[in-house]
Amino acid sequence: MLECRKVKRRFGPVEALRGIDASIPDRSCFALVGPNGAGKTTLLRMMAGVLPLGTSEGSIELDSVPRHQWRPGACAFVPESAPAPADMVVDDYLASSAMLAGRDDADLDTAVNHAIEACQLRDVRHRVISLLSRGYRQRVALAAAMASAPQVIVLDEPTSGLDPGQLVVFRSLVGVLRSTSTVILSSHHLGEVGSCATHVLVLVEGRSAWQGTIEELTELGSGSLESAYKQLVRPEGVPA
Amino acid sequence: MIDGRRIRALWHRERAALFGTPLAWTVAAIFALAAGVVELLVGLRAGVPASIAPAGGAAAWCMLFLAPALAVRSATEDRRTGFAEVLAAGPASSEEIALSRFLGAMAAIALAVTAALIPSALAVGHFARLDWGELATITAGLMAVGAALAATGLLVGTLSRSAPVAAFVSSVVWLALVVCGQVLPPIVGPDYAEAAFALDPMRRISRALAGVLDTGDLIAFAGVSMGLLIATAVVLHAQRTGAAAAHGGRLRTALGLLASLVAAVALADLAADVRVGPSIALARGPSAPLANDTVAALREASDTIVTLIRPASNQLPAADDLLLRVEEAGLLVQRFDPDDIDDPAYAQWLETLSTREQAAGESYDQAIDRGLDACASLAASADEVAPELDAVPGDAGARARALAAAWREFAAQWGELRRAIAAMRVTTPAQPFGDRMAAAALLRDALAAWSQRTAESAIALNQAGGVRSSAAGRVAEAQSRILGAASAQLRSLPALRHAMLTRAMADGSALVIERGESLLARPGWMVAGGGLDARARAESVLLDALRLPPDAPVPIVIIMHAEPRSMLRATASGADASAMRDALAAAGFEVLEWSVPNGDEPRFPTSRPHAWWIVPPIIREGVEPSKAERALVAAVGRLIDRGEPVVLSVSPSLLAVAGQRDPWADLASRLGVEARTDRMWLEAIPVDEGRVEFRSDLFVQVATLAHAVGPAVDGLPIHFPSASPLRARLEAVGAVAIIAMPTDEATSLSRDWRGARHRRGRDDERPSPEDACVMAVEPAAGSRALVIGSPDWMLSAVARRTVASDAGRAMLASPGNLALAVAGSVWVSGSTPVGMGSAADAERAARVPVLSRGQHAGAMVGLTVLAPALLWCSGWWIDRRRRHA
Repeated sequence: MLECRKVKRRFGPVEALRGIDASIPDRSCFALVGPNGAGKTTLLRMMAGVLPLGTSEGSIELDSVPRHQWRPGACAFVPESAPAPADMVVDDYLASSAMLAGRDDADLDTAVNHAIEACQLRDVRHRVISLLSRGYRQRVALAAAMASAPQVIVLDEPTSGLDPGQLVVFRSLVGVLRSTSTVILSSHHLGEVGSCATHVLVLVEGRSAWQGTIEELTELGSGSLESAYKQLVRPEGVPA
Repeated sequence: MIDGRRIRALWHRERAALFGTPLAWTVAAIFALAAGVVELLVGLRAGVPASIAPAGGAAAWCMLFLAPALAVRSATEDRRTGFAEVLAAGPASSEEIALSRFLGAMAAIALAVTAALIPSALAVGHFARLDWGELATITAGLMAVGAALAATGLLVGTLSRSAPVAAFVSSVVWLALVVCGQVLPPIVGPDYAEAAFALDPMRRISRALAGVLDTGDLIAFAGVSMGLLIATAVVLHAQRTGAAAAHGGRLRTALGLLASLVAAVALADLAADVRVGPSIALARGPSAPLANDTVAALREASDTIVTLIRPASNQLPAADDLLLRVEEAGLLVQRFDPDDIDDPAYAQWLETLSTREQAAGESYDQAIDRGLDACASLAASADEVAPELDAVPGDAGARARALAAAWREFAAQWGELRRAIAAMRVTTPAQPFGDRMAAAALLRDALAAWSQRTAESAIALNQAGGVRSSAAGRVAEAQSRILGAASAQLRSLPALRHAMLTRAMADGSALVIERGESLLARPGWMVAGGGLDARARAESVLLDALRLPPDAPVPIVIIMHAEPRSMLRATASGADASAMRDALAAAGFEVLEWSVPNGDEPRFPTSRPHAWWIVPPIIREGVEPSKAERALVAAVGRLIDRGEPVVLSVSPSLLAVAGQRDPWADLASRLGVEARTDRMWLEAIPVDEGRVEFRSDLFVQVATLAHAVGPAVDGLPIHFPSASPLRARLEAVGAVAIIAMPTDEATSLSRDWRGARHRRGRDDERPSPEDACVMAVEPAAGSRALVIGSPDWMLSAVARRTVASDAGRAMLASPGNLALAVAGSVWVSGSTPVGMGSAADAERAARVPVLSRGQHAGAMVGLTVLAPALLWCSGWWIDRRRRHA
């Protein structure tokens, strides 16, 4: 179980997060939704450890272990641009990611092959990453995260820029990832959230507007995620 | 803390980025091209020592600009693409990330160094002989400086988002250090000059290029690299953890960064103290021939004692380094502080020196006292003689009145002479013996001059007639005898060894070498500074001493000239032989002077080894030789006829240009050397676009090792102004061209060298390999002579010209001139030199032979086309293969 308690973050005069509480069950797909500037990426980066917590910024714990004490490789992070070393061959990158995460040499090939199969990268496994399309690069980034076998995978806007076909692949991929890890992602696409998320946290202006399962959210909107979202994220001054 | 597997994982990424793309290969190709061009132009010239140092030098400059560029790439690229966040969230620590990036850059640098050195090494090995030690030291030096540059690039790249800006800033930082090392020493003075020199990475690299593996330099570079790497890890950690936001992290980051940099500087500074000095046996380049000879000679001379006298405040690192080696060779080494007057060992040593020359010192004192008495007597008789001289009538009156004025002037001012001599005899802690030799020389010159004047006065008075005049004439005659005898006594005094120490210590410090009864002292400034040139000079001091056979009679050099004044006294213009006198005296020679027109031919036992030095007229008026010049030529001719050992310098002559007989060329011809004094060696120097100026200053540094004099001067810069070519005549016996003239495209032997600006005429010739500027001949059995095709090379203005040394002190610009004077005198006078032409010759660097056109073309294609092209194509092929996989 990953738990966030009273997580706050301020960037100068801007309060990006104002005391977020969240409980994320193991092997769930936890989606952060909300308008631009709501604090989704900030919270994800804090969970990933890219933005570490100060003592007065609440706590993020994984199985009651504070963020700064997580074991190396417990969490993998895939930013929105899905960066990967442009000059590496896919195979080599996945192997080095697995090695970096502490996988044994004997286990490397298995891990790489599993990630390649899961992310449907067999055709491009010997290609240089810089020559791949946006969708493939996204899958390579996910495969690298998978090859390192983390307990938590944090994905920031993983579907931005993907075509419908790639979106389908992505959804199935999240299912695979969930089999071994907790997946936390942020997205603007409610359809995508509805198809792959199990739990949802709606953020508005750095605050937690709503949290629950995807089913509860659907129910709140009378069967429509869009309707529920509109209720929770209404423009300022507009009565609920 | 650092996991090898994670480093390996991250290294795969660096390897792919550098070697899986054309990047590292292109950089290596640039290194290979630059090194190849420089090696071809500088290193593969006929006659120069076979060395890959030129290629290494070019690689060092490439390194300054390209190593930071290689290092910044990884850090800035990760930040630009966002991969830095992936790494930050991953398991690798900041130290591991920094180290893997550093190792990636170092791998690319290793490829570049290999690309720069291996083609040149192959060429040198093919045409001459490769020195594996040199290859190893240059490789180590380049890798060390590359590591420091890469670490700088890594730190700046971690702080910056722009790779070009980060690379530029890194290079500028190091360039600034190079400039500081050049500019600061003269500004900050000797006290801080060493620190300023320590900043200059190129100065450190120059040692590696010379074949010296100086652990101090390696430690400095390693310290800087390590400190900057730690600083990079600190910055990465701060960026990664956002420590600035909490836990007082900003302060901790700043403190960590500061501590890392302080550690780097401290390690670099500490390097001077933990240095294991470079082995002079390994050194080559400028000091190698000397170093090898020194080591070989030291083993033959275990009776030598080396003493360094130095105030505690005066640092002489080159001398300290040398003394460590000397101690290792088994010689006794002493170090004294002259300001420590309570040091019993120092007092004992001075006492020993004093006792050893007690008898000679007493004879000096007696002769000086006698000379002063003669002066006092002369001054006292002025009142009697001067009025009678004033009264001399007729044609001789004017000269007599001039003499009378001189008598009165001497009587009025001789007290100053007495005080000057007294001052020279005073002993102080810094001047433990006084300078009796200088006092004797000053007095001797005064007495000799007045002996002649009093004789002239006596003649004038006797010719005038009259009772009073005749009485005054007898007084003058008596004075002339007294002065002559006193002067002769002073002239007969042996050289006083410890007077050299006194002169050397005028600077405050001295290096003293004793071998048997021989003693040699050099001022401390000549062995100051930390550079190889200082080390080479210090070694040459040792060699000079070792060349003097112990307990042998003191050799004599007689400087012959046609000037009315003394050539041994320093003049403001430097048109004198005082530098030569000092060098010869320091090397243990007694130096005498013969101004041929003045007729005072020196007398000495002919059984003593000696050499006649002939100085041609400094200024010639008109084409025809003056009376004084004719007298000099005639005197030299007589010496040659007698088979005397001479060192003859000849100059370009208008007579020869006009097709007439040049008497100096005739003298050389009698020695078996054809001196073509109608021609002068000129070098065309492009000074502007389409404009060329001609220089007649010949600078050479290469001497044949086949002659005993050659090894003593080989490798030292020698300056020959206005050089004429020499060739051995068919009948010449034992002729060896010690120093050949350069035969570059830009050089010519011109007949049209008159006027203020030289120019190249139609009938100019190209110098041939047979044209020499220094030739040794043995015209008769047991007779030796040296002919030098330049008139002014021994004048102080040329031989003692100085430039700023490492420590901000003066150092000789052309030390070879004085070395040639000493070594030439040793050989010509028939002394048996020790340490010349020793077995160490076998250890010398091979020379590059004259390459045929085909060989040159092959080297050019290999070094400047094939090697770079091969590397570039390798990168292109690897990149293409990966892209099409």
